[in-house]
Amino acid sequence: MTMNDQRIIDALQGAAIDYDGEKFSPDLRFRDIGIDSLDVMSLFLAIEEKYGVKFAVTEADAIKTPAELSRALDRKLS
Amino acid sequence: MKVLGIKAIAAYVPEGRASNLTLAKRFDMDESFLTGKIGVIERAIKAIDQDTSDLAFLALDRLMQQQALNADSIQALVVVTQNPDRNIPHVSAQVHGRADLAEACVVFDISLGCSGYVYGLAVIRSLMQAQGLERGVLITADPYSKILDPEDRTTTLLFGDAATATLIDTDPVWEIEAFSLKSRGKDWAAIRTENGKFEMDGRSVFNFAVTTIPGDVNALLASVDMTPDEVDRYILHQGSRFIVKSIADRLRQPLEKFPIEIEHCGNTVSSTIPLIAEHLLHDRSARTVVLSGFGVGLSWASCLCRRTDTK
Repeated sequence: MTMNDQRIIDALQGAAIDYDGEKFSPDLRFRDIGIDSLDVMSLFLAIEEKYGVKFAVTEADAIKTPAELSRALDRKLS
Repeated sequence: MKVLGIKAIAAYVPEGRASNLTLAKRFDMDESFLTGKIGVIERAIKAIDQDTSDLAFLALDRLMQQQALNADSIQALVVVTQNPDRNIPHVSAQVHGRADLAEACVVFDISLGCSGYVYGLAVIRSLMQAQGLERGVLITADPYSKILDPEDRTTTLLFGDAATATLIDTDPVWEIEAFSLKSRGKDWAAIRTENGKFEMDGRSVFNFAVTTIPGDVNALLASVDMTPDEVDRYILHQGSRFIVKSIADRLRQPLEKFPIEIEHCGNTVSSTIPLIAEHLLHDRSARTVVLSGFGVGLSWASCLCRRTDTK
């Protein structure tokens, strides 16, 4: 897990989203680490608010894992 | 000027129910997600031969019986709906005729969705004040079963059918102290119909609700020198259990202050707030209550109600 992935964990914890910490791996799908579709919406909102970025609906729909979200965030911040 | 406020509320919820448990299996959805996040186990569905004006009339009829109202005494009748029986006439005209109300009664519809009840309260109260009227009825009736796509998992599990009728008069149980009425038309496409079928961008609506409503409620309370802690109950539009909880978290208020009543009827659009208010009107522990509706438009509306001391 990289420092960049830690941003996703921080956002999950900041938004009080329950997830399976033992299973957590950045390359697993959100659903497989106990993060349902509504929690994913909360996660995206937490990231958007913290970093001042916006994810379009189609863009967000294509992101399925914490690692993909982290990479998409990097692209927006670069 | 006499004080106008909410005197009584009656509801008509159709007996028909559609189970979400069955649908959840078909959509490969956990039951815990259904109960814990969406919050809807079954949805109230109108009978096939019932239309919007039928639901609206039945809510009005219950209110008239409950309050022993004479048809001639109702001076204003306003219906909030975006799913009328037909484009012409307005639903309120059909209800007016069926209830045999007086020709002097002011009758019209308001086209709004989930913000419609609070907007409607502002409109009917202002109208009654301006015209010197003392008894009016605000009806909500927006059966989404007419427009839902049963294969759309983002909407079909949420919405149910119901109608409510609220009596506004000069001897209220709740006075209405302040209103906030807002719109963001540039985002109208987030909730719309396409070719007669309902479509909703759930993520945009969620972001809108949880980032907009807490600030709106805080501003409303600040305008009357109150803090969120001083409010006894918050009746939020019941978009889903998840949205209500998310807004409660951002207001930093305990979830116990936010009644959630969608488990056995679903999100009934403009009727969700009055369905809860119907019960809270009789709860004397609820002395200050914030109502907040949000949705189609996008639009949102909040108001502060206070229990009158003599009731």
